[in-house]
Amino acid sequence: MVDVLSVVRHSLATLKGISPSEITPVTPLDSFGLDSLDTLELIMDIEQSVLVEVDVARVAECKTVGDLVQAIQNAALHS
Amino acid sequence: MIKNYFGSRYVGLWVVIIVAVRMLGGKSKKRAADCAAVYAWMRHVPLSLYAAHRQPSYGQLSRQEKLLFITRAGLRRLFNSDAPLKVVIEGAQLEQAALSARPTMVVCPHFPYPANLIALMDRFGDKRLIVLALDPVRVATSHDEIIGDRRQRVTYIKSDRYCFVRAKKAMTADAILVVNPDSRGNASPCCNQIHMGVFEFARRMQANLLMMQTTVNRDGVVVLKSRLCPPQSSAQAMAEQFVAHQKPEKTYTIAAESVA
Repeated sequence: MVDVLSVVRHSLATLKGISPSEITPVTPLDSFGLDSLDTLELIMDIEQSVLVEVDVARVAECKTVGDLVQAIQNAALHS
Repeated sequence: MIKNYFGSRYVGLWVVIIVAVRMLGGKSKKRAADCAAVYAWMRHVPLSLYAAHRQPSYGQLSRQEKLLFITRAGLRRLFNSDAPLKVVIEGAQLEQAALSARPTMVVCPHFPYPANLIALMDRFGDKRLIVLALDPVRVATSHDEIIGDRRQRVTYIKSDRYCFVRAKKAMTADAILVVNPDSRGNASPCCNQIHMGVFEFARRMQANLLMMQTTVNRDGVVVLKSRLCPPQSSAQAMAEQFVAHQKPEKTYTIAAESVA
């Protein structure tokens, strides 16, 4: 099983040009200053790595990195 | 549906409206504004467009003006079933885009008017329309002239952080994305801001980008002018073409943020 947290950390770090170690499960998603294009890139990157289709409505409710990881794990379980 | 109230059948009707407005209106100071409102009413100028260009008090309508536009909305609703669609689309490039295998995006200034959507649905056969809007509920409500089967073919997506993800997933072969890449600037209501994110999204999607401009000709017919932008264009080139395609009196600045 793919480590979803690592995938999310790597995708976010690459996108925002920061170190993955700066990203923890409690980091708020708002702190990355993602705009709509960043979010598109992030979600597409995660979907390609985890090979699961993300439910956008579920992801939009996520407040932290941990919430996002949980949403992707749930989507993977249900797929 | 757009009704042509300029026809001889409706002369009596708008004469009554004008008289009513004059009776309700005040002294000479208000007459110019009343005439402008009646003119806009007859020429099918959308309320949002009229309010935006109203001088000197932008966006603030008088009681008479409100009455006129409410009456027009009521008339449109009343005569909806038998009203012919008075829309002309210029440009064969629309058909070219319809036949293409690439996804299609339509960009139009402000948010799309019902006439734009109806014309697009008619020209693109049975395709669905996905409308990206900051306030989808308000836009959907303002599109109450789209009825019946056509109504079922329009989906409204909120223009938030996840809008492009939703749009990408929804942009299947039978769907067209309709979006306005501009918004009114804070500094001046007449100066519009271009959001590059829309054009960047079109470039990434390798989409056919159709630019539309809505005008009303002397006969009161809504004319939609369209231009197809080559998919290999850069986002900057697309934005410049969009500005060039708009009315010359409009001014644009490019916004830094890419949220649509």
